[in-house]
Amino acid sequence: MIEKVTDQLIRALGELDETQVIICVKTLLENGVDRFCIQSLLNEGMKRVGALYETGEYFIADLIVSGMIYKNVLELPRMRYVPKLGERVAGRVLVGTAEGDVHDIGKDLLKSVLSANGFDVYDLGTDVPPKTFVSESTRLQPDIIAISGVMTVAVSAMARTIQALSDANLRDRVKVIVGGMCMSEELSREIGADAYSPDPLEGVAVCKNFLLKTS
Amino acid sequence: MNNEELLAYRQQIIEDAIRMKKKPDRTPHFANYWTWKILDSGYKLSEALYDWDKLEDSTIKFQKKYGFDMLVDDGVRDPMQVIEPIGQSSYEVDDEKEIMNIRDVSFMSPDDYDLFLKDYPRFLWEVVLPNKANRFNSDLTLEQFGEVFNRFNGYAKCTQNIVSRLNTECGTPAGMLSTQSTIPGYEQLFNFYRGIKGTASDMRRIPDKFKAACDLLDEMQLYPALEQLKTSTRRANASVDFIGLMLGHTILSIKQWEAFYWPSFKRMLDAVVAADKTCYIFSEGSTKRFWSYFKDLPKGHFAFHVEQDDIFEFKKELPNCCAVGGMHASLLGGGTKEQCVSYAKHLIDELGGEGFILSQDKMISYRNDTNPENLKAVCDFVREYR
Ligand code: B12
Repeated sequence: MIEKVTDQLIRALGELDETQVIICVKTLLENGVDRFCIQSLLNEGMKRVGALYETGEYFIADLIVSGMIYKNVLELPRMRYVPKLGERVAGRVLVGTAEGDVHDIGKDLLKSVLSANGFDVYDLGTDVPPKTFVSESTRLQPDIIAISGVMTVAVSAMARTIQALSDANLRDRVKVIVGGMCMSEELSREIGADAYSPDPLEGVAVCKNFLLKTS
Repeated sequence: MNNEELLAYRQQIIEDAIRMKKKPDRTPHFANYWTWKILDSGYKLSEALYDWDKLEDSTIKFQKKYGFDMLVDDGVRDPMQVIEPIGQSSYEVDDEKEIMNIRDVSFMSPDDYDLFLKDYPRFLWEVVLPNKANRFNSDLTLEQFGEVFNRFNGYAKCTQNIVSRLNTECGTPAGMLSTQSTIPGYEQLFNFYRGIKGTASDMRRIPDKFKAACDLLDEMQLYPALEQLKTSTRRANASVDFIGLMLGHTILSIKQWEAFYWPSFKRMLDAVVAADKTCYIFSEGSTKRFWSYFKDLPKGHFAFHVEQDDIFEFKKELPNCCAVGGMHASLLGGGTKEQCVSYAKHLIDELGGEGFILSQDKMISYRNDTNPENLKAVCDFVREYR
């Protein structure tokens, strides 16, 4: 029975059938399946969404909805999990949209993919000034900072953020990955980021690599 | 040329570029310049955005300095001060960062579709207004409400003044804000009611209601306007007959495009063709995955703005449509004068002739989007180059 529900859950998330997803999760919880196991099933479902995006069947609107469903499930009473400060999950990532830029769709997509991959994600929101990146890095000690931006002004804001991290002597303690349509491989190198990716899935692989190297 | 002749000349080269029957005398140049105009003319953003005279002044100054053939933003794109007396929460101006922020907000919840569909005026009054104007339901006085109308008047006058001064003092035809335009229902829900996340969610969770709302808006606004297009005559100062927007396609899969977008958009395109009009579609982001839908459009009616796609590829795939764009904000902002002019020349040599209008890919908004000297050099070059 449980096996049937787990299959159903993966399929339902792949099909973005929210009602079905919630029903499956509740059933699994009632049957004593633990939250981590459920989360890994969700991640399987998210992989299906990603695959359908890659074939062109799904587009941004579908990714936005997959992120919403994922978030709603994690907010169910018995799914909620707040890692303690200092506790290590896959790794801790601070995400935010660069100063001056309020576009958050790309950032939110990145966030759900990171969470789906076991990262402990802190979202600083949009229009995040360099000094906030610095103060939050000091407070939360992330392994990685991921900055998103779509507008031309975001490029210089990212550069200023990276500079501010250096000025605060944090730069060698944290990796910086940048993305969003204002960025390119070349620009990311110019501003001194550690990595760039046009794609959140690839970005997550890069983040995992960072952690492997540091550990 | 005096201004009257210049206006006629500009109208002619734009017409020739879109109609694609004969080569225009030279390549037309559209300005995709927005808040940058204010900064370049020496005002702070808040100064001009809150003072109609200064806003007018910055637009006219801009055009006198650079001499484009059409200003896409030929008026007041962001009249946030109009509803300020009753409260607004989506705009924010930051003079220090020289940035104007617009938040992606939803002015209704999914539950409000029922009223939307049953009684649209009541829905606007009871749901949208109080959500959009956050002081609407509180301590609002009649004077404050009246002030909105005063300011609206100021806004209308400002737009009128800009358009008329662009015509008479600068020999420049009308742009986006003073040309006939209608927005399909999907675009309205996306831009004005539900925001991006709301739209994405409604298409999946309550597709029937969402579609019914799109259809209702189309019935009320789009289709009557298309009816009018049949008999309307071209305005004396027009650059094109009709302007369409393509913004909300940026999030759609092909399936969603076919369900929510294409049917009414196609009706709009068909109406333009049936009335033998010219139409400029201001499109954002990438449109590439929808090009196959435009392949059969008859030649000589449509000009599409190209933001993220490769404009050379666009022309190759859609030789029946005029392409608008080509100049990258990154080059205008970060390149040298020589690089900019040489790229403009390359674009005109490759694409010029029928079916191409030079413009900037992005909506130029921030100071660093363009170095004024680069822009001046490109504008001077384009006017002279044959
Ligand atoms: C949606 C949108 C809006 C929405 C934003 C809604 C929201 N909640 O985010 C609203 C309507 C609010 C808005 C407002 C404005 N916008 Co706007 N907007 C867009 C639009 C249409 C799409 C952007 C988007 O979300 N794309 C989809 C996402 C998914 O793409 P993405 O962010 O690149 O993310 C993907 C990848 O890059 C990657 N990724 C993203 N971040 C990261 C980070 C890392 C670390 C990694 C690994 C990967 C990664 O993952 C994503 C999935 O693949 C673009 C046009 C376009 N090109 O499509 C204009 C655009 C960005 N906007 C623009 C402008 C000018 C504005 C405004 C100033 C208003 C105006 N006058 O129109 C305001 C104010 C904005 C401000 N200060 O920030 C201009 C910017 C021009 C410039 N000079 O740079 C654009 C390019 C439009 C244009 N035609 O020129 N906008």
